Amino acid sequence: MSEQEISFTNIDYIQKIHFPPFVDSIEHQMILSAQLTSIIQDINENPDVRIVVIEGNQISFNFQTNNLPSPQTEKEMEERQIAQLIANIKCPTIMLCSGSIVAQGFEICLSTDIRICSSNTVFQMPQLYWNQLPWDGGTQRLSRLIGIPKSLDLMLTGRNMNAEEAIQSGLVHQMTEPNKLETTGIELAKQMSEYAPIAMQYTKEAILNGYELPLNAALTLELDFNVLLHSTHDRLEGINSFLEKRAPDFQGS
Amino acid sequence: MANNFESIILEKKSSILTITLNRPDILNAYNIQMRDEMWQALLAIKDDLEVKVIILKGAGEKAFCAGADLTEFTTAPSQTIARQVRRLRPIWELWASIRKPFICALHGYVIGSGLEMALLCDIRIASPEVKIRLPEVALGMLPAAGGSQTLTKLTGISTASKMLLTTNTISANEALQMGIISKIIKASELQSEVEHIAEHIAGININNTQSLLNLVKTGNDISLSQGLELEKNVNLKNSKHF
Repeated sequence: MSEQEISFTNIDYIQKIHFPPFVDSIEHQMILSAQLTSIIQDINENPDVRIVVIEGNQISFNFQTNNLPSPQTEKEMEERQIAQLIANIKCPTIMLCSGSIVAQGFEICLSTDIRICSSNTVFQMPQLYWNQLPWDGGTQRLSRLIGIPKSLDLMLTGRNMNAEEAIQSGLVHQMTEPNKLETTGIELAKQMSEYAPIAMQYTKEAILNGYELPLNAALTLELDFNVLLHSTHDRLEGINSFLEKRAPDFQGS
Repeated sequence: MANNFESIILEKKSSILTITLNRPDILNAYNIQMRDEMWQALLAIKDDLEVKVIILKGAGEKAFCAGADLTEFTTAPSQTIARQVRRLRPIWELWASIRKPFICALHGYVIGSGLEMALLCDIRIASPEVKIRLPEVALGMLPAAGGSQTLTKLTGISTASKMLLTTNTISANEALQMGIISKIIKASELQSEVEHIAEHIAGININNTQSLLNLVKTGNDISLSQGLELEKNVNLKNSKHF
């Protein structure tokens, strides 16, 4: 496998998706998108994947380095989108952020569930300054995650947001020293891989879909997920393990 | 208002009703009895014209509420029956529909359904040692008292994902930063602070308080232009009374 492609490994319920350091052409972008489409289909069908960890390299996470032009057709856009694919992963996703997270890289970051960053990370959404618009979900997901005022500030000025500001905004959940990012992320992934997989998938879906609904409809959505969980082995296992003061053994069923 | 409850205590002092979760021996764990008594209490609160403000707190020193009493969870009715029961007595929907301010005093453990009840309140004040956590996915479950939705609407997707998916415990300072609580007050002064806020709010015109809650809560469920229309209509309707 070339180092320009996405590499992935699955160890103990944790699927790692490792992005290449840069993307230098539209063709390259399309190769990554196609590769991810098939990986993610596998992930969603594989019961041994409970957590996905997404990472780039230490320096940058920017897939529009050469200011690649915007997609000209809907088809081209779909073939170059990556954040949209990441958003389709059913289980929780953790992104390890490091270096410059720019443009589409930032949009990918916004489509994950939990973000941990090293103290050297900067986030930037500079598309307006390239005479473009964000086209991989950024205009919608950024304000849903950090609110309208800061989203407008970042997108209109194209300025950098550093790690501390990202923590304060609620976007990033934890900051580490650069050399601790990997171990911190894997530690959290291991912790979460011990939770009930179906409950986690439903919780993720309840958060993201419920957010788009009026409260009453959202409460019914939560209720429906709850009664669905009544049919799982893992719900009873969770309750029994708690009452018996032992660690649960979740089967994902 | 009926007051022959066991799992909760209701005390009415002029226009302020205090609800105390009262199972201190087991950290005020939420059980079926508490659900049924809260349902009765909420129905009464909705109808009682004298009640203008509600305070919610937990008895004992260790916990506001440490979550659901899981000993009652091992036997569950069929899925269709469970859903029907909840739809017939939609306790969280009822709570969310009451247009009277609920002020919540949090101390000690605030876990699972404990936090979910707090999230249905309008103002939350906590003591510094509070331990806040939503552990459901670690127990094979999902929040069942609205928490996956109320938390997300209150704090946004990012913070809600962190709390719900990692199940990590949140401190008072973190909760303040996330907007889950609005103030940290030391445990010995928590009660008087909450009463002070309740008395302050009880002093204003209840009709305006109710209209404001209605506008903010309904407004959160509709588009901005619909919300502005509602605000206009509510104001014009109120002005006819003067």
